[in-house]
Amino acid sequence: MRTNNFKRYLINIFAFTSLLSFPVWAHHSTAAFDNEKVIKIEGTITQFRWTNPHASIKLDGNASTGPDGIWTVEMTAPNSLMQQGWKRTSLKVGDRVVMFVNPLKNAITLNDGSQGGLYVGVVLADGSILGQADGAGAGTAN
Amino acid sequence: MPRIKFKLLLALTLVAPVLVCAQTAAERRLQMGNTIMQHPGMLGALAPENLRKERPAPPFDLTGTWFVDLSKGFVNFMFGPEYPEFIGQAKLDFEEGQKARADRRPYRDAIGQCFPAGIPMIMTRVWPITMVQLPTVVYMISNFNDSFRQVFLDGRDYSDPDQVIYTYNGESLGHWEADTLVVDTRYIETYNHFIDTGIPISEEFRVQERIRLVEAGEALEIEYIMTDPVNWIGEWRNTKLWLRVDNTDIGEVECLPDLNDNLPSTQAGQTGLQR
Repeated sequence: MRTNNFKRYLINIFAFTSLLSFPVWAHHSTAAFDNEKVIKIEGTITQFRWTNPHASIKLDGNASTGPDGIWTVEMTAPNSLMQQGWKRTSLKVGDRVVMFVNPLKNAITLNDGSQGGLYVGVVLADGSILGQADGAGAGTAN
Repeated sequence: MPRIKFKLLLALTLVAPVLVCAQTAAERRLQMGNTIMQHPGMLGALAPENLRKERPAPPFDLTGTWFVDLSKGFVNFMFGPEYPEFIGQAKLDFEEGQKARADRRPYRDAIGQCFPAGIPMIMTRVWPITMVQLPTVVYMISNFNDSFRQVFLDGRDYSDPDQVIYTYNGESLGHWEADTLVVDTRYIETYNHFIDTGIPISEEFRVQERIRLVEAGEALEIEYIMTDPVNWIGEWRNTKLWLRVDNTDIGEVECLPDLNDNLPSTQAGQTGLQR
């Protein structure tokens, strides 16, 4: 039993350090986000930008916490996202998705009137999952 | 009469390019005068005559693509701790930045607002850096906004201080000391240019990089020795490693004017910036 716990401990350490060393190509810190909270947004994609230094998503939907409406979702660079299975064609305008984001720590309304979050994971229109879509997890953008 | 005019026009049309071509390239350069910026009395780094000059063989070649070694922790992109003793406004700014970091609040996120990272932070952005070494110059291009540095090795002096244009990566001159390339950089732009958590620099800021190839050429080590008598006492030292990455190339990265319309964190991260 003790051996199993020790193994699990080692696996957790490995997973944690792997996360730390995951290549992330982007341009600034994620200090603005609360990486201990995850909000679920069910909605329709209105924009998907597959661009350097950050990809980004806008969707119009209902949030588990916070206002409904347009949410702007910050992502890391496409080079990193590709290693998680993302493609330029993963999303298109009109897709119905379930998005998981870390919210801004101090929520503000963005310039375009939307709410902001950091990408954690998504259930795509075809039911496939990218990232972490179990209501937990911390996104990365820097 | 109109027929003669037509013939004259045709003849001029045919002859004009020949007349232009009759001028040598040197003559045409001269004709363009000040339109072409020139170093007075000095060859450019890529001038064949400069490249051909006899020089001792360099101890190593930095040519390749490199990635900052963050294998011991993501925070290693920063240049502290250890920090020097900050003074004056820098001391207050440092304390404010540390407090914000502890509270996970953005502070002076100038880079997020599309200000250039500048030296030294540009070197540890989490993007690859391509380096091309020639006898007269080392070109460094960080994939982060394709920021460009050039380290001149051709023995030139710094630009005239009355004319030099301060830039975020500064003006870098290098020379070899045994197995080390020593690069000294000055004339560094200060506007919204910070180190780590919002630490400001002054026009007195100087950076020396002592560059070595280690681990049989698989890693690049740079010791940073930074001074700025306006903002801290003595030398701020830190040593960083980069890993050779042979299976990638740099690409185009632009900080577009509307980039931040799609990035919640940068809209929240303007605290402490200079206006």
